[in-house]
Amino acid sequence: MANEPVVLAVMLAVFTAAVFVWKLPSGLALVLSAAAGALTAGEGLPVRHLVEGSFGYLDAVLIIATAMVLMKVVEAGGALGTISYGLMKWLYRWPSLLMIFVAFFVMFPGMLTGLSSACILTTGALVAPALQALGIPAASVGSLIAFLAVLGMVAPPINIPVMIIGGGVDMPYVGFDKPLLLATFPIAILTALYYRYRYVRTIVLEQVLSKLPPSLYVRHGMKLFLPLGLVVALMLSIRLFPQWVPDIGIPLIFMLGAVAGIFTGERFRFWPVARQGIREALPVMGILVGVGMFVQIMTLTGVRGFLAVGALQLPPALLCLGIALLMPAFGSAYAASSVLGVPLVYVFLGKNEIVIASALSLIAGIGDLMPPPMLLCSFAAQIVGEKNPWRILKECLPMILVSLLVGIAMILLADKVARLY
Amino acid sequence: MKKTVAHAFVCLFIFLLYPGTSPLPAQAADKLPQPVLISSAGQSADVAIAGMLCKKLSLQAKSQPLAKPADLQGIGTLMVVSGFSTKGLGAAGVSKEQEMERVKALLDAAREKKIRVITLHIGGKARRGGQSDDFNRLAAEASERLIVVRTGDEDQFFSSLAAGKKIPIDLVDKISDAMQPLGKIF
Amino acid sequence: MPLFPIHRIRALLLLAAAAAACLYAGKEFRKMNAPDTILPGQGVSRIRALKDYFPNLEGTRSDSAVYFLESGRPGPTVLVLGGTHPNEPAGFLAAVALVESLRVKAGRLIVVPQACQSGFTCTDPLEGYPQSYSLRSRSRLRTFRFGSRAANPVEDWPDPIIYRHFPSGQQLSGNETRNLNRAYPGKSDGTTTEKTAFAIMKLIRDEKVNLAFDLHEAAPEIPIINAIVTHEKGRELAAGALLGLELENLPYALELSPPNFHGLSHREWGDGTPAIPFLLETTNPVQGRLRGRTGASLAVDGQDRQYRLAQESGRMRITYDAGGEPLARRVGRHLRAIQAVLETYNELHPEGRVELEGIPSYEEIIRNGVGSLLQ
Ligand SMILES: [Zn+2]
Repeated sequence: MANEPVVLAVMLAVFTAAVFVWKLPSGLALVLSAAAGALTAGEGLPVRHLVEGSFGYLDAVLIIATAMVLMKVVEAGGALGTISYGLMKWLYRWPSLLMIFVAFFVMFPGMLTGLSSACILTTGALVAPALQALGIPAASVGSLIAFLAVLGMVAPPINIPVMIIGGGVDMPYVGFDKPLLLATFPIAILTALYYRYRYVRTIVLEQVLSKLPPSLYVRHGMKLFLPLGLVVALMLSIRLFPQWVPDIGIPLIFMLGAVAGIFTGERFRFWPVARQGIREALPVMGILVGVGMFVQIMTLTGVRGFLAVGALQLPPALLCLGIALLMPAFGSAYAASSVLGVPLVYVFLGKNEIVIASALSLIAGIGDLMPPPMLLCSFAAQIVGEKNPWRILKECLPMILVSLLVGIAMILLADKVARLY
Repeated sequence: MKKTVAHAFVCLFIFLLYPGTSPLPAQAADKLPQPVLISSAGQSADVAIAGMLCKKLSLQAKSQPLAKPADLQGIGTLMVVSGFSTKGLGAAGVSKEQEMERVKALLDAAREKKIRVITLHIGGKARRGGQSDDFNRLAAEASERLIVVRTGDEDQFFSSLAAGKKIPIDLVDKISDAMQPLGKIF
Repeated sequence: MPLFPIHRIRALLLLAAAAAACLYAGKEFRKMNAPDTILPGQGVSRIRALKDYFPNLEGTRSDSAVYFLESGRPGPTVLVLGGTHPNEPAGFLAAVALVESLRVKAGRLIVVPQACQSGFTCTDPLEGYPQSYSLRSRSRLRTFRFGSRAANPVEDWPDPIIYRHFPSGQQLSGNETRNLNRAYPGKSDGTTTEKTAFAIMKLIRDEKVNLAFDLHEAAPEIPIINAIVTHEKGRELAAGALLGLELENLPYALELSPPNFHGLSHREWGDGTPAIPFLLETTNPVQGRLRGRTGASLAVDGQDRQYRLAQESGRMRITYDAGGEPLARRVGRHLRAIQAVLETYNELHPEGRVELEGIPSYEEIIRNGVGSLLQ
């Protein structure tokens, strides 16, 4: 029966050793780390808990699997290349505008679904080739789409972390649009301009286009965009007309899009393409399964509470710093919102709780970039063909820092922020 | 324009210098007049409990959590039950700012009409700190007497406020103990 | 290339290990389908089920027993609901205690100990909850399931991303779709949880319930604990009960149901039926976000170091006694609070009283443990 800090240390040590010394995939490393934690805490090998935990992110796993199939289909059918091509041709004269448009385009699916993975796997993957063709280095493109995916998840109208916090403190999801807009849109524009001035000078259209796959618009016409149009139309209509359109779930929407994609562009064989998508998604899905086990064991052994109470015990001057460091360290926006977000709303009781919850969701959202899962960084690495997801994370650091500062400022000035709108 | 502002400052200055000119009546030796209007400052449900106390004391009282100045017509004493409740404000369908305005207007009207004002704080720690204390202070400073359940005064918020403003205060251990001072002053 | 290269063997072994783990865990999960044993006491006059009020529930995980304790003498009808949230054991056990030990001398009591029966068949992933906990009752060792906050996800899987409450259209996070206490007044052709809520509303109307209690617990960091939450029409009864409880050194807070927050029992029962609703909350470390080691003993003894530390930090209001928050204390509070409301009701309605017998005093429950309430 070891106490919580010891259990935590063992879990982290096993994870690190498994990844860096034994060179195991992160998913397996997490499984081992969880099992080691349970053993250290004197829980034996709690098979039921491990399996139960592996279901913690089942919905996310399904979304990722179906999104990958959809994107592979869209790529094979030619729509992916055509969109990149069209985007460049349309906006190359105004690089700043192009980058800002790209930013909101990437964020869009996340704004509708509240899922960061929906951004990076769909619109993020769509614009990545175009951004790379502009001459932005691969790791930087990865960091841009990964970070925009976080902003998309936090941006209104749908923000699941806020809903999770609201569920814990009995706060209906009303009145969050403006604070969330304030928390995300300025950062998104700033980020777009940062990348534009850092990497993009004038755009020589021919040069850029030569690096992209050819446009198939002439051959297939608007039909080419039908799968993506269907996906967007379904997502939008579920949001806009919930009384008439049933919520069939994101995975099914993506699958419908994928099926439509078989008939709307270049001919290709569906099964190999779908298999390729699943194969590429497998490491990240494995990580999510492992993280579920990891979190379940952290909770079972009291490590989760140890971390949460540790954060709350920080002296007031350090509390905000602690929040900025610890919330993202949960490695998952949802877990951080539930475990730390809810108590923190009570810690800041008396300030405008809508602004507080919005700010906390921004800080928690950073967790989707962070290890151990490094969910968004791993996907970004895959999309841009970068081997090392840690390089993506490193490239994200300036924006992460800005977001944390914005989040902390919103917490400290919550009442003033509330008067802004 | 400038003159008016200067005048206002002078008046404020004098007002602050001479607590004796404050419109709050000093210690009241006589009994408080009935009927009693029980209202809230912060919309916590504690108003219902105060109503129950008055009922048990057979006081002539009515509860109006959202009382407006017009409701003071024919009232002898205004009993303010202070404490903020997020649930409560939602229940009344008003924002914190609106509630603040209402309480200020009600207290101003009571002062104008020379209606006696007392404050009850019975919610303990749950109705302290954060958003509650704005209401607690507002109500207490306008009162000639405070009745406070001790768990709400562990940090001497009410007792030091009462000492500073020379407002008599009764600290009681339990809500039901508030019946004794209430019985004495009515 | 050999038929079985090393990586393939490794993969097969891993696959076999995963299959074995799933098989074992699957067995464990299925154990939770076995119903809890509730032993009706001599006060129980008949037993019905939710399906008798809404036949659609027949044969589903959500059907649940409804116990009638009738005195045969005129008086009000009181409904007590436990297990709305199956991870809040004090609410469930207080209702079981009524079924097993209470006798009604005037009026009648209807008890549904497992309002969200479906939630008793699983635990919440990532929460590390125990599947059951045990207590020594008057005659034997009793084991009860510790369930999940919401209904079993297999019923209407997957959750939508956004839960839209019927009929208000209020939006909550998708997992609240399975939360019974966000589903009222329910919907006859809705989700499993909406159907359960619909059946309970129907029960309240059909049985002409006068007073209705929904027994809950909350995480110690939630401000509304040791609280009576009621509808506007219950404020006087609740205020009277609160004064009575305070005399017994059981402090309570009174909270009014916010009219703009929909789906809650204290709102929708009050608006949609003639019943006066009361929701009671006690403190429950095992469902708190700050809790330390999680397990059956935390559910029963309520002793948690992390909550003690969090309370000492003074950062937020935490309802936690340094000596722990054992089930006996929480169940005792629920039982006393119900009686206090009924006593106030009797004072105000001398013509139609409800009289209960067989519930020990709060002190006796603390002294003899929660098991003393069970057969
Ligand atoms: Zn509950």
